[in-house]
Amino acid sequence: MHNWSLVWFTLLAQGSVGVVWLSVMGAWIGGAREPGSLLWPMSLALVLSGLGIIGATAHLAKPRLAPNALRNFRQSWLSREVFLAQAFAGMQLLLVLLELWGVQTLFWARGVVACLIGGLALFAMTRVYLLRTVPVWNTMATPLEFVGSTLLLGGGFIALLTVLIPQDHSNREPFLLVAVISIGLGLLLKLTSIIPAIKALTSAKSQTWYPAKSQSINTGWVLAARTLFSLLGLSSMILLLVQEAGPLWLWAGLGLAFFTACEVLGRWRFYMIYRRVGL
Amino acid sequence: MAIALKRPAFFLDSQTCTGCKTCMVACKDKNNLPLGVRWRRVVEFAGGQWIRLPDGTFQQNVFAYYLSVSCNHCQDPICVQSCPTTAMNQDEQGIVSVDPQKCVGCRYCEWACPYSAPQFNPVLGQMTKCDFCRDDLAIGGAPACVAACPTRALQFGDYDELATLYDSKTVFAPLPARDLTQPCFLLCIPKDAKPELTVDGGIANPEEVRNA
Repeated sequence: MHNWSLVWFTLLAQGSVGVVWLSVMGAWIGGAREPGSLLWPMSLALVLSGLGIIGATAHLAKPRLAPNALRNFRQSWLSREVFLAQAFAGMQLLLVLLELWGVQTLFWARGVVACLIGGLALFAMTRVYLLRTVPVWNTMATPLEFVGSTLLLGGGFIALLTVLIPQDHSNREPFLLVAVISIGLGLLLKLTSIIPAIKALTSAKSQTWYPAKSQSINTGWVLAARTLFSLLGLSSMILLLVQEAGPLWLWAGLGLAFFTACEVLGRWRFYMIYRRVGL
Repeated sequence: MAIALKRPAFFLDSQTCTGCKTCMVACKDKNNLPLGVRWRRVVEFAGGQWIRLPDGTFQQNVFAYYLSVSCNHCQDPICVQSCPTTAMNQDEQGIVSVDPQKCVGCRYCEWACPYSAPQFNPVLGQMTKCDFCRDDLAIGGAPACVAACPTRALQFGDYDELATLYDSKTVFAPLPARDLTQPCFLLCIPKDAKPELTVDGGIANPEEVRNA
């Protein structure tokens, strides 16, 4: 399966949801209400969403017919995902414009609405893969993996953005705090997804699936590489927290790079293990 | 004269099917399908082994049987439910087909269908599939695959009528559980049929099924 465009779309979209969730949470904890405080995170989220949607469109054999994908909202989770991903990007654009214009009306309400739309998009994205004919995906591991990616990538992006934007220490602290907690939670979810994922894969190996069972399913090395990248990313984040001076952007950048590598590998493996019941 | 079928369904007598693949070729020929696109596939399920006995002789339990499968125009079609564009649709007779004006070629139906019925046509950049030779049915003919079958192992008829003659719950390897999509496909069980999720045996012609 050639699913790099889907690896691209799902990771960017999940990263975007994470950035929105954590920036609103960081602003809430820090009580940041000055105009433009969410401009950079929302702009980043918008760029991530936009790039993701371009990737998803590239996946289609007939991109010019892409608007048709909104027709089956009533039945298809894929259609709902497409709609919600676009609604989420639209909401981000609105928030960026409001931040640019310094509009403070309903500051928290609009942040919460953006978080909710992001959450719904993530839910629809997860449901797309919970197909009853694909037991290797239809497990708890899929939502754990997707929410984990959202928290991990969102945390990585927010940490980097926080140290890149010139601001004083007290403004930076709440954002760094939510980023680090989110990364920790994300890694924990990833860890808990391992057992159901292995169970599903083992079960798939022992049955008559499509493709034929003679085709080997061995991606154990991916687990080892992901563990290594996670540990390196975590070490970078610890260095970012303990280092009062020095190149903070370097540690945050390295952390994000390691977490991204971990996620790209994990998502590639996710598509590679596709096995369907039947012929 | 048109054949008025309430719900068209295929019937395969797997005891009689010799795996000659005439049905597959007839389908490809009628629909002018390119290499790699196969609306009907003949799967060979085989297994068993030769065992050496203490007296030096051999005993074997090898087996093979064939399954000619196309779209089963399911009663609970997962492809129709999955399709984001409504290109994959089911008419009032229950025939599932693709609307080329709507299909974006996302291939999600291909992921979901447990019978590999929706097939991506790289020339068109869209999904294509068996439409039960709707044009032939309309003029009283039989689907191309049924008409071509030299042993009459493959037949068609009204699902409810066929269900009174054959067990509509029959399932054996490598077919998926019927309750996943409720296929309108009836079968006569071959002699050596293995249970649904058996580990004794496997698809012996995966390349042929995927690339013919």
